[in-house]
Amino acid sequence: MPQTFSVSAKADGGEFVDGDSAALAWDVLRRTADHQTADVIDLSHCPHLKPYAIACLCGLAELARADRRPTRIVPPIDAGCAAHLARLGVPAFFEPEGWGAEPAWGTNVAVRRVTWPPGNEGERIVEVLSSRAELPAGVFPNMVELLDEIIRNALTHAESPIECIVAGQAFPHTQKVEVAVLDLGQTILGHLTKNPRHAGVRTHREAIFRALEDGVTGTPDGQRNRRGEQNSGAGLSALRAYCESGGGELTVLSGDVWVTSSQTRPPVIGTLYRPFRGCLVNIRYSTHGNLTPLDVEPIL
Amino acid sequence: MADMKLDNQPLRSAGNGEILATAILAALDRDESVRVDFAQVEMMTPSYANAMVMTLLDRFTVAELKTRCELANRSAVVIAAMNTAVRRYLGGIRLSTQRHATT
Repeated sequence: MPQTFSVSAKADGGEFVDGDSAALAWDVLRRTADHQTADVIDLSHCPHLKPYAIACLCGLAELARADRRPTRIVPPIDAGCAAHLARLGVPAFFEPEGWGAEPAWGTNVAVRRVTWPPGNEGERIVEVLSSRAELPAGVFPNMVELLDEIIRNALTHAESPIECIVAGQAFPHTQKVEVAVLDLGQTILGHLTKNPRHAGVRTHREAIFRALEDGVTGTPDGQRNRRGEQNSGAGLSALRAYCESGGGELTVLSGDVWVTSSQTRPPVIGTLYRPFRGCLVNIRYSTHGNLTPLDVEPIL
Repeated sequence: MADMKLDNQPLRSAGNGEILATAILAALDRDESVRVDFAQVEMMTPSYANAMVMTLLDRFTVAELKTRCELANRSAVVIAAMNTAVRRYLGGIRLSTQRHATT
């Protein structure tokens, strides 16, 4: 009897802060939290998916593939949603009897699985998104650098069986760019407490806040990470600072907690129905904001 | 003066940042000064910048490096990435291998 995972019909507002736990993205998150793969993922009634939900769907498909149980997908009835997912290249993550279509580069959406060692995937994704996002001058390289950094973080620290999935979309009308980076390895708490400096961290919430501070890393003192590299704990804090500088938001979801931080309000914290085994970083840039100007007076 | 030129690959990994710093340090052991040309480099991740800059600052002060190591033709984003790494180092942040192991 095939196991079918039917994604609900309720539209996904994509607002972590609203915490609409009935929205379909949360269905996907719950399923992904437990690494529950399915034989069939039924998107028949799906009206829309945000990048983080797409990343989770593709992550589930990759998990199933790793278990040699490829997942079949039932495409959305809604033609617009089906075309949207096809343009992203989502069908390629599932059994071929979905709805075949080549991903259409040059649109405002992109999804990729990235494996170690990463190449120019981050740059490619930002290129796709920037074609519709009207990024201010100088923003493109910063976005690429920081996306590269977060991808490397995921591939280095997570011990994820699917490596990582990156999904992004530009929203020209609201002048936002959203990028989700998903791994299904260990939680931030699991990684951070491997460093004796942070062994006292007890909760997922504390671990996420600690990881957002500059200079915090799970790599123990005197050691290198599992890729043989040194760490200084810059990734998430640098991304947070840059993202927030332009009025954007950064959401980090790991274990039983998600935290959304922005400059305009105190961090918003939510709890998950089931602990999420892995980490999802959702970046929401506000492209009309004043992203941090470059500090170009050389010190060295 | 030793001359080093980087190719046009974006500078991404901490491992490669450490390799460049090690090469610069080796050149400074041999020569009085070194010139590194970044003309072909468009981007540099924080990981790369931190590994490179912090490895250099572990041996030399900012003033010594300014005298002996010319970092030429850097783009604005490369300068900004290196500046951030310098500020972090001066603020007390170190690479994992530069911190003494705790028991």
